[in-house]
Amino acid sequence: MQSKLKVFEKFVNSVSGWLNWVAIAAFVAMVMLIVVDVLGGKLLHHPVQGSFEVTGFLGLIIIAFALPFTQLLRGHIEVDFFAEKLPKRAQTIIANVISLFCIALFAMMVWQMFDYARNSQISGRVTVVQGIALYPFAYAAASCFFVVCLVISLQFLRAVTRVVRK
Amino acid sequence: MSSSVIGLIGIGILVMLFLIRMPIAFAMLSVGILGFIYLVSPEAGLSLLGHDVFAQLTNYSLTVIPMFVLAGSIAFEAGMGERLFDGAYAMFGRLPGSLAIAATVASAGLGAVTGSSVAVAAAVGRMSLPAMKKYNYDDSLATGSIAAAGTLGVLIPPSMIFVIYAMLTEQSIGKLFIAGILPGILLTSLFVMTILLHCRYNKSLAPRGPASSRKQKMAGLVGLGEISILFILVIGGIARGWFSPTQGGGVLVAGVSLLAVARRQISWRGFITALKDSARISCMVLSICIGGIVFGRFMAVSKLPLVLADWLGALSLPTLAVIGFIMLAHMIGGCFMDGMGLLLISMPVIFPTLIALDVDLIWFGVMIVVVGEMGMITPPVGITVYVIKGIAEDVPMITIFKGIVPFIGAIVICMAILVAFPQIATFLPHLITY
Repeated sequence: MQSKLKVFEKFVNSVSGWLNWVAIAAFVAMVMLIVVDVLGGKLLHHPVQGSFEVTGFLGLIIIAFALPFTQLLRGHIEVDFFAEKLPKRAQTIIANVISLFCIALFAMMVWQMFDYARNSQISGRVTVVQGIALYPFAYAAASCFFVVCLVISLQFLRAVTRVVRK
Repeated sequence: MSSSVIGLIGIGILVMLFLIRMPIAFAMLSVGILGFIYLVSPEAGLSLLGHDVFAQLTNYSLTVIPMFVLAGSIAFEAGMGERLFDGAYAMFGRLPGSLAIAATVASAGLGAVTGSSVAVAAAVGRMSLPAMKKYNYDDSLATGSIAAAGTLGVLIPPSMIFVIYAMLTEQSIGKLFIAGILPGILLTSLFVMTILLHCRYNKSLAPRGPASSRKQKMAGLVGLGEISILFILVIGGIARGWFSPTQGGGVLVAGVSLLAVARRQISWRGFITALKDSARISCMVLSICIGGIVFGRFMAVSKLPLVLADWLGALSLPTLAVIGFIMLAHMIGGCFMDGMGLLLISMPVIFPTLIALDVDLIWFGVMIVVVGEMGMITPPVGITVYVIKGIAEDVPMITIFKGIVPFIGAIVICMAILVAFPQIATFLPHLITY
């Protein structure tokens, strides 16, 4: 059981890490696109056509691809002053219930985002200016949400094995 | 059960989820979806998770946040706060409490390139606290002044809270940024006066530091000048409509990077760290925004905000009394939770009331940010206080909170001045014609 969990942990960590690098690359691309757009538009009167559409998609990549790693680091803001005062046992139980709830939430997000991606693909939804298809980005977001599910599952399993060992 | 009662129950459940430590973003998303499912239909509620979440993930207006976060992270990694602090100290070196004053001015300067109070408090705290310790500054004054000054980061543009407020109230980000300038200067001056008064009455709190040479003063002016030029270019450019807020953020990132590289203040590793930090912080902030937007959809269909507006209208209370009540609620709420989350819950609820009362939404935005600053330094959830505690580990929490009390007084005075003279916040935005 322990070795299987280790393998799962290694897999989730490396996938989240790689996705985070994609988010970082999108960050750099966004800065470069904006600089080229501003310089081109203001100095040469040739702005990048539809740059706001590409910037929006890069925004999606930054958030969705950084989400698993942020969850892995437990980087989301929580209100801890009340929960910290509860007994340790109660804290563990509540944390595990929240983890299960979050897994369910992200599972629903995966389902709905895949559904949205499929519908966009079938109906051929594209952006107005550059005609970029929406569905690849929706599929990418859905896949990242799936990895978030894996990350929260890993955190849940770790917590449960810790309790069982005690 | 009426829909507005469901809305109230939703807020109650949300608060409960916050208290049991569910991440703010996920809690707002869950309650928003479940409430929407209950009030409209399961299909409509679930579709928010697909269509609505996708629309927000690709929302161009939200991309301004990662840009300003990255600019702040690069400035932090490049040690720009240190340069600002040295510059401010060279200018104010002979005044009583000069190191605390320099830390306050440096915080205001750093706030001009980053929209995060945590980043400002961490950067300025790291270099000014050891200096204050060296000159035997009182722990309470040293830590309290830096924690309070850190909050200037959210009032002085670019400010993330202004971006979120603009998104929720459909106000111009450029106008809100401009609106924060004069109140930011006012609050910085009030913080400086607080330090001066404190040190005048009790000279042992902050012994005088060494005087600076003319050369040091000139170097200090250059340091302050660089940031000022960048600030004027970016915020002025956004206000004049030269570029969108996101483009302004991109220009700021480019400007801060060029400065850092030209001064050899940042390594390749520093850049990567800044990018990693920015990805994490942006993801965290934008997740909260998306959760807040979905929660706002639930509030809208619950009609609770309209019922509240009607109820307050029927009471025929003076506008200032209603505003005072809202501010008090934010002050209390800010003690317990993050200002951004609080704003995302409260704005959808109180927005119709503000419209009905014909409140100037730019002025209100400034007021809500100033109240939010108070929440960042009041117990039990004073985020900048925890940052300072992390740096000054040997100083008890109670000492830091004691040091903050006079600065809370300064924030209250700032609010009173803004109520008496709302033009301080509205004068500059009214000059913008677009």
